[in-house]
Amino acid sequence: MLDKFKAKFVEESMDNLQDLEESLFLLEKDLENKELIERIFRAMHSLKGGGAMFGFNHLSDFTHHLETIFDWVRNNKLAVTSDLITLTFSAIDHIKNLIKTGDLTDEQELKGHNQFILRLQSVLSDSASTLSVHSTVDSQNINDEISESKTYLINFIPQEELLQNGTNPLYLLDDIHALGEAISIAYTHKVPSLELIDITANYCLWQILLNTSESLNEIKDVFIFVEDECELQIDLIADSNILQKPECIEIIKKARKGNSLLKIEDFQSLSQLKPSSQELESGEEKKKITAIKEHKISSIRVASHKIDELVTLVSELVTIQAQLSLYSESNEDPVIVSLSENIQKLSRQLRENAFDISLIPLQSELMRFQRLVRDLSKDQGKDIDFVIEGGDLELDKNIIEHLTDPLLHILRNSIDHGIELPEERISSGKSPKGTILFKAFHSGANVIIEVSDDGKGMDLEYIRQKAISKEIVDQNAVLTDKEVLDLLFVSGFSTKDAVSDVSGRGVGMDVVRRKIANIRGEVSIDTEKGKGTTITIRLPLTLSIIDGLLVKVGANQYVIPISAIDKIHALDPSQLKKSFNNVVVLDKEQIPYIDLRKVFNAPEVEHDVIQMVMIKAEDRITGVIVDSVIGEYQTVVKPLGRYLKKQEILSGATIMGDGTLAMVVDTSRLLMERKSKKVAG
Amino acid sequence: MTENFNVDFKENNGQLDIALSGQLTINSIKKITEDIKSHIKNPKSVSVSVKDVDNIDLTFIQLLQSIKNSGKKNGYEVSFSMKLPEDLSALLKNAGFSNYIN
Repeated sequence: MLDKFKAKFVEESMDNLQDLEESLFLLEKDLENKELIERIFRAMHSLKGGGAMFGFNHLSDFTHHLETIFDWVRNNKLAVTSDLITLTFSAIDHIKNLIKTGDLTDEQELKGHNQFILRLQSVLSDSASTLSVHSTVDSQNINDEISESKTYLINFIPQEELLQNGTNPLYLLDDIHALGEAISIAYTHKVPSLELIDITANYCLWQILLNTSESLNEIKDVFIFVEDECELQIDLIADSNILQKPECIEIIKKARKGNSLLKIEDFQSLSQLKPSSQELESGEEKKKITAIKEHKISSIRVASHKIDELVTLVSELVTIQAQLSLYSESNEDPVIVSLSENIQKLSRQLRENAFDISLIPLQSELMRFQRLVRDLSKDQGKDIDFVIEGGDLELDKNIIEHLTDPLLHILRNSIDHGIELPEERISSGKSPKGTILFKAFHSGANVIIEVSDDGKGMDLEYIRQKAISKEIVDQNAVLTDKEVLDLLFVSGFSTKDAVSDVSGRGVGMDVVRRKIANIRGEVSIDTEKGKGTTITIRLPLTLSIIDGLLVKVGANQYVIPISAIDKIHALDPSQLKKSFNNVVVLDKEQIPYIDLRKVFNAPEVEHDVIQMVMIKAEDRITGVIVDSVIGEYQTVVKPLGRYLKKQEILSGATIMGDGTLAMVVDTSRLLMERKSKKVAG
Repeated sequence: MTENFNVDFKENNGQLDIALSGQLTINSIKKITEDIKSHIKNPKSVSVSVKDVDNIDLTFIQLLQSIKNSGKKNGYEVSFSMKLPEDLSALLKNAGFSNYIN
């Protein structure tokens, strides 16, 4: 069970770190934002406490030092600087490592760890010495710190699930005692008898009387970990220590005996508080600081393998439903037909729901891109603003997983080859600060991701010459701008003469295109010399079930994704016979076509009417000739397996209701292959 | 896997003695509870003795309270004796559970 809690801690810590990084990026733009500083401090506090609880001692110790720095920051003892942010980013990387590996055992790593702690400590010692000279500390803060002790009544009512999250409230109460003099009253009257108890649930609640000279913030910090899992109320009940007064002891005794909760009014006669200050503390302050939290579960965390299982089950259901449809059609029993139709509707809804669940926001991956841009631009002496639009857009988690590497490569290219050095930019009349715009948006059944930079753009002639020198194209070849840019996708093409640490190692855009194609996406480039470059990625929304058009070619059935289809045309066979160079004229437009019967070596059968499915890609229409169109089909796409993996025109297979197979056509690859004339027209 | 806790039962004329030691925390609490539930049939009284404790948490305190509540409900007496190392004893006292400690 401990491993389970540990795993949960690791998972939550990674979320915390992501939040931390996000806050740091924002803080870098607004160095005095108190809310962000508080957010950063709380994330560190959670990491520290969780680390200690789950045996990540190095992590806990390390984060303690970092937390202290931000405690000073939030108390105006230390200013946020760019150096501090850079140091914190490095510290986050170190924390990530400590979370992954646990406590360090390697001597070298330990040495590095300790040196890092010294660096953190030096931030405080440097600042402390500055403070002694300049005395920049807010005098009000000092006054607050040396103020006399006060007595508080703390109501701590944890939720039933608290213990299952790995929290031991006994430690929290112990921490409260460390703040001063305290008396805890534990209420156990809600604990059920043995027959009814859920032994890992929490049934207890506490009231604590605390006399302390610490601030309200310090008291609240003890509960930072559990603030979403408890009701917490902290009321000031006296301006002095009343805990040893006999009347107070009597009140506590009564509460313990009768299991009756203490109220602020119980202490009124003991209190030295003036009514106005008490009102302020227990009224406005209470509302502002410690109002009882309304607990609403708006989201739950689910292991990704469970979602995969759900999607698989839905896929199976869709297949079975196809069998049922087939059976009901042949049986002609109106009851079964009606039932089958209802199941079809339900399975479609279920399918949509299941896919909706498996979508995650792109934002989850963007943080590492932000770090990449920040770190690399600093390394290369470039000043780059990374702007994100549409980060909240959601994509299938399987697509996001496959998208990370290509996007990292594209961004590296932008930083390395695209954005110029500040002096170069100034001499070209640009702002010294470059911009990389990451934009994601929906377009029909697709998601479009654009990465644009305002850098130097690409020199098409240079690319052409390079391709000629590498014997990729003939010296006399006449190429359009788009065809020249397509050369970048040819294997091994790299435009950077000097191999940099960042990119240009020969692993170029060909890999990007292949990886994007693996998730049924397309990638294209637009560039303008001196102005910048835009890489556009077009992606499907989901991978495993698609709406398809079932067609027949020869004796076999194929599925064409509906998202790729513009329309279907019925052709007179004579039109094809008259066509030249695989181009037919429809509505006065010349449409190139691919005859799937030739592609799949199916015998050509005479038809009265031939069906041409119009595929739209990159704003161009291409016709695909099939023998007949059967109809729409919910397609569960199964991988082809290793024997057919090299098959490039097919992206998968699906099992039909009658148990036969239908191959799923990868339209973008089909069109690409046509361009390179690998497939018959 | 060896258990890092120990539960012993002795029964004599309706008097059930339960002795607990080791890790008395959420990691082992389900097993401890099941053991105890299976032994408490219709006792006249139950005496719980806790010693040689490595660690303790709220789940265990709640178990003790639950045994006490079951006693009230089903008409048998429940008594506790708990000897803890100093740090754990302070932990329980600070959490308001000093009434469980001898």
